[in-house]
Amino acid sequence: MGELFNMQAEIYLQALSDSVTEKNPEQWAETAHKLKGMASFVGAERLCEVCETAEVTHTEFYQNAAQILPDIKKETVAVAQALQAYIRKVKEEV
Amino acid sequence: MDYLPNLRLDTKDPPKVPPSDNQDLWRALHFQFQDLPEGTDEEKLARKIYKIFESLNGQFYYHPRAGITVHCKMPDVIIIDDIIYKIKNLIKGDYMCRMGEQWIMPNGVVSLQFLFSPSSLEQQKLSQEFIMQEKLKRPNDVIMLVEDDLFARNIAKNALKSKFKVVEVTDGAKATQEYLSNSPDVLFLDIHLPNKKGHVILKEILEVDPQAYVVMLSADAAEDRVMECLKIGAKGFIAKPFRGEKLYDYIRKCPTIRVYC
Repeated sequence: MGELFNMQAEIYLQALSDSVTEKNPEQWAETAHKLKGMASFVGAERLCEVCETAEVTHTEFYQNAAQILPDIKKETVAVAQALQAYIRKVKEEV
Repeated sequence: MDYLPNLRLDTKDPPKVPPSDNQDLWRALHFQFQDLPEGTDEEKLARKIYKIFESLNGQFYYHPRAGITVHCKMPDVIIIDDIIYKIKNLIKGDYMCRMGEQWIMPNGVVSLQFLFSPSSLEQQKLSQEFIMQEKLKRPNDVIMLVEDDLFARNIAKNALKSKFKVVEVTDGAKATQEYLSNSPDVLFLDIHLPNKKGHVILKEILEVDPQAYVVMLSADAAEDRVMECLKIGAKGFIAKPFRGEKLYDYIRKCPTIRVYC
């Protein structure tokens, strides 16, 4: 699960960055929605909130996207690390 | 015993028959491919299918609903599979080919039914009964997941794969066609999909198969689309994130599911 999360998160973060570079609000909102969905499966509430903000504010995309993106990246990395730590712990217990 | 009574259809002059003289087969293909004008791609396709069918060396009949029926001596199952495979490869996209009823007659002659239909949804309505037949005939219950998010798909698949054949689709544009090809017992359909949204796919599928058991998936429970889908005819809605058990809650309610779960 951890590996899958990392793999998908990398794809989504890249897509978010690309949508900022390419000034593509639709791709931005769509990707934020997907990342939010994935984050919800692992209980990453803070990441869900940031993605939700990104998704619903896409109409003000040009003002907000570049500011929100670092937050999303930071939260995603934090979730990935927490997941890895959790998986390590479960493996040790088993 | 009288098999396939009044099956021959003689309403029109058949078009020019290809080099061999199997009039019934060529007539059948002609009607199944909607009055083929000569020299068109469809006509060329029909000629190729004609060649494949001819290898069965049987007697061919046609009926607009029953499709092409071939009476031949007991063929090797592999030959039939090979024929269906070749035909499906030829017609993919534009037409559908389904295997219908199969009988063995007292004299040892086998009757095999092939139904062709254009991929337009209007025409596919004719194959509703075949969808139900396929569901009941096959050995395994089939669950289809139409979900573009690999993570969500994986969670659902891991929960289901021990009990069901799981078919995965990621592209909204292919969902309806895949539904018709696989006739799943239960379809879990995401609302946010690339190329075609879930509510549009739901409408298309219910037009073809009004008894389809479709459950919507979405991360936004409050979304207007969810209510719209329930009104259109979805059997339920599962909010993401979900657990495998939630999927089983709906699967258990599906009338065509036979496996105990």
